[in-house]
Amino acid sequence: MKKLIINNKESRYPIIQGGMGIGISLSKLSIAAIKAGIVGTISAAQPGFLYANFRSDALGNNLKALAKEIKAVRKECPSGILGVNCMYAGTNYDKYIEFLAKQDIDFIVSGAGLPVDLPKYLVGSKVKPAVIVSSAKAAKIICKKWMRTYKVLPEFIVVEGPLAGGHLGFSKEDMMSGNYKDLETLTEEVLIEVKKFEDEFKTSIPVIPAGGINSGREIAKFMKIGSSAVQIATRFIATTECDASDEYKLMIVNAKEEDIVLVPSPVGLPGRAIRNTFTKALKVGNFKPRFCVDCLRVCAKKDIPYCITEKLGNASGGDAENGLVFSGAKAYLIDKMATVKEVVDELVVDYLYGLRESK
Amino acid sequence: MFERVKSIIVENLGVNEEEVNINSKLAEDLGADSLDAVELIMAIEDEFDISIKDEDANNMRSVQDILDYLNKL
Ligand SMILES: Cc1cc2nc3c(=O)[nH]c(=O)nc-3n(C[C@H](O)[C@H](O)[C@H](O)COP(=O)(O)O)c2cc1C
Repeated sequence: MKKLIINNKESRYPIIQGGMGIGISLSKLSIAAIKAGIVGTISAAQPGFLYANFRSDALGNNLKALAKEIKAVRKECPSGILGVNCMYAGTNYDKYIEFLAKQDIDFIVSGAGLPVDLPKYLVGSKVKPAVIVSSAKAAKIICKKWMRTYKVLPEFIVVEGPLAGGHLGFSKEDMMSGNYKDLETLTEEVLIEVKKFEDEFKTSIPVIPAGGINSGREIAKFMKIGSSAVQIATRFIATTECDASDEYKLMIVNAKEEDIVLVPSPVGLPGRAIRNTFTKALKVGNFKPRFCVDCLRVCAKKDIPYCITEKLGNASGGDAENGLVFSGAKAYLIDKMATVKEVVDELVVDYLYGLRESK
Repeated sequence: MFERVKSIIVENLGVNEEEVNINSKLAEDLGADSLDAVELIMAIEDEFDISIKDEDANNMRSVQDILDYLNKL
């Protein structure tokens, strides 16, 4: 089996549990993921949302929460591979990264924008920079820019395709008109670009597809074309250990194919979510934000459809009908709760069969 | 100088020469997205054999901004 190596540590299975905000992937999910033999990712998207004075000091509470969540993972899993997902479009990106650079984690992975200066904050840190892209062009530019300016290449590259959950790297127009490539094609294109840098700098950069991967056979398919691992997020929501509320998890378990919809977001990209009272009401009008913690650099703050932090936080906290329930396109294939270990074991067994069949 | 910058822009952004003038804004007039902008700056670094700080790069919104920067070197 192909080995996934991050920060000189080897993952037992080639799977990364994708970071999920707000409050969906924190320490509980990451601990379970690492114990099951895969890579854990904590989401840095407003982890302090449920803290008492979050609204008056989001940054302070978020950093406090991150430190606490990371410490909780390290207590249980001192040597597992743990990373933090931090969106580039967020406010105070520099402050988050400077803080995370000093934490006991293996990588920081950034998407939602092109994290051109991520390595700047990691000079002298053992934490490695990684990136999420949705095109070969973005992969190429990041490799070129990081190498040129900081003499580093990404520790790994996640290729997020059109079936992912949360914010998508494709415009609404492209999603509606079908003007996008499938994950396999995108992965192949990224592999070609990345190979040039691997050859030139005599190194290897794991390419890791994500978005809609739901079975071990699919993992086998992506490994066969040259991926080093896959990233999976939605499948880990309907697990006992996931940090989300039970109401949120049930939405995933009960979702049918037609319940999975695209919604506009103040981030300026479409988001994929489960249809509920909130998404239906969104068609009729905007939701006036109740507070603003200035979470996004890119948010217009006025005349926005709703506040992304408020609605994601509420859903994750338990109000799954009136909040935003982000989900991948394949959530309808999930029909029961399980433990993370059960999910991983099922994926790995199916993956091994998939590999064997193709021989 | 303008001619050199113009040909880099034409090549990197896939626009026609006639579309590029001193006052063109990279995003609004020439359709550069954030990826294009980073790529363009790197191409300018190559052409002029210089290194542009991220802070300076972020302030380059128009052809004029690029020329001003290069003229100050
Ligand atoms: C509920 C949810 C929240 C997410 N939050 C984030 C996030 O905060 N930052 C990010 O970069 N990606 C986020 N994602 C994307 C995932 O990390 C992952 O790449 C993607 O969902 C993979 O597709 P899958 O869910 O079909 O497995 C989120 C996805 C979901 C489902």
